[in-house]
Amino acid sequence: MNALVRVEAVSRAFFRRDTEHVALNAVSLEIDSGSFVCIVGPSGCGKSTLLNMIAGLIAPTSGRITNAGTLVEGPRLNVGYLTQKDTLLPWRDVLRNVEMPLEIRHVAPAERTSKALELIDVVGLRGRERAYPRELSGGMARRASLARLLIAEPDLLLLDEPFSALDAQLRQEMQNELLRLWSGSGKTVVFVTHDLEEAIALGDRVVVLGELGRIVRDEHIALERPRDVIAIRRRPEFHAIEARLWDALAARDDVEPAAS
Amino acid sequence: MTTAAVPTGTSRSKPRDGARRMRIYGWRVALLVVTIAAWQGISLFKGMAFYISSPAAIGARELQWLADGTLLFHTTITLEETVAGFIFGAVAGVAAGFVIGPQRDVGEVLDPFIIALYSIPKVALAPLFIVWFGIGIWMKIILAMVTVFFIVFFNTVAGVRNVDPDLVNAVWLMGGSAREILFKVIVPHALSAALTGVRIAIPYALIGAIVGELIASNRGIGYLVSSAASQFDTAGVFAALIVLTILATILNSLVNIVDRRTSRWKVDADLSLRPN
Repeated sequence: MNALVRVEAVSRAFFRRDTEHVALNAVSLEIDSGSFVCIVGPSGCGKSTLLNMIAGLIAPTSGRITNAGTLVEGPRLNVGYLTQKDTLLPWRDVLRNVEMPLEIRHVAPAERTSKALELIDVVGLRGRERAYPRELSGGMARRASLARLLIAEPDLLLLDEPFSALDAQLRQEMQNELLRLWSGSGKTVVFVTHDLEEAIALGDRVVVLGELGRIVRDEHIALERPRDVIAIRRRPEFHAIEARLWDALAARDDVEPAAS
Repeated sequence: MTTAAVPTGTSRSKPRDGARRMRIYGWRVALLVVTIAAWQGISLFKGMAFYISSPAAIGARELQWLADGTLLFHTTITLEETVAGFIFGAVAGVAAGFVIGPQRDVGEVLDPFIIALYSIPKVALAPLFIVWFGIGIWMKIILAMVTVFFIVFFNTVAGVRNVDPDLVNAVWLMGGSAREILFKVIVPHALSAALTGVRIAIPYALIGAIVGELIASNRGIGYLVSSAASQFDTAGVFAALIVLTILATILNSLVNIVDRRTSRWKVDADLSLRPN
């Protein structure tokens, strides 16, 4: 497999009240094209900063990030980004929110509407096209965000704790939904979470970050696809992987180089 | 997976709602009748009618004004002042907010001056406006306009400035240009905040007009109140106050209509996306 995203010795520092804080220190990571990579780590480990840099929202202080062989210098059209917080525009209904990325690309109105309706159907929001964001439940708003993300047909999906604000049952529902939408699509997914179980259930690969974004473990998840996130949690292999990763998270000080 | 799996639960209907509403309306009517009866009763005591008039006298006055055209004439004047002041103030407030809002440096320079102007009780400006614009209709329109202007202006500026950076980032990540971010995020956000200001300002336009009429006028409902009071005509004062109450109530229900029309997408006062 060839790497789609290359993170090469990337560091990121920021200033707060004239004091320099380091968020990430010399992180290197390769993400294979078409893979589903989960990045786990405690809060403050710099996982969101890393994702923001891959998205091109912020620039590394040193080091470089390439996407499909070219240097990332700003947001790209083939990259979709979904944050924990809903960023649907409150004055647009679901349909017009989902159409937004195509509107920016100057796609003809009739075409973008038909495509948006199709995606609204795919994410299970049919009948809510004319609802405004404040009229949606948390889960429905996530589905609308997902539709808006997918309508732009990105090759690379960056998901930053996308389901962490949902209750447990809805979260599992959305996880299955995401896997269903991703499988066979050939899209590359980088999924940031602090939930180890979620990472194992979804990913082909789980990267555990420690302080300053140091990679403390990089585990290949050899569980079959397609998966059901609820059923897979009951498997003995799942628990073995989980135990290994927990140990890595707990003993963040001993460096454990990448396995596979 | 279907949407049915997602809980929507907001539209719980209460079967006894109708009966309860009827009971509440019943009590309201009862309260009104008792108050009017008590009022009439107390006014029968010796000398009391001078202070509180009586519902019968007030009703008679209302009918007389209705018949001789007094009511229509003065109400029209007050409404004209209110509506004109409101429109001028709202338009000027939105325009100024959009001009000054995006320019942070200009805004910061002007900030203390605008706050100082805003802090002046508008009533105190009335004598100055009389000097400038005379005691005609324009003085009342300007007074209403100034009151409305500040409310709309502050809301518009806040709307321009408090745009959620996450929304801006989201559109930027979609490939949106600075121009698209302006027209698809900042302007709609500011307009919905401006609308909140416009909504709040509706009753204030009436206050501005009435204050102007109370201070110097020979027409309008404010004039009716003050001229009746100066002749110790309590029935006239109450009759004019009742007209004013009805007018204010109509304006407030207008606010509620605007509210209902916009609440589906309106940005919250704290400017967050959804109450969670």
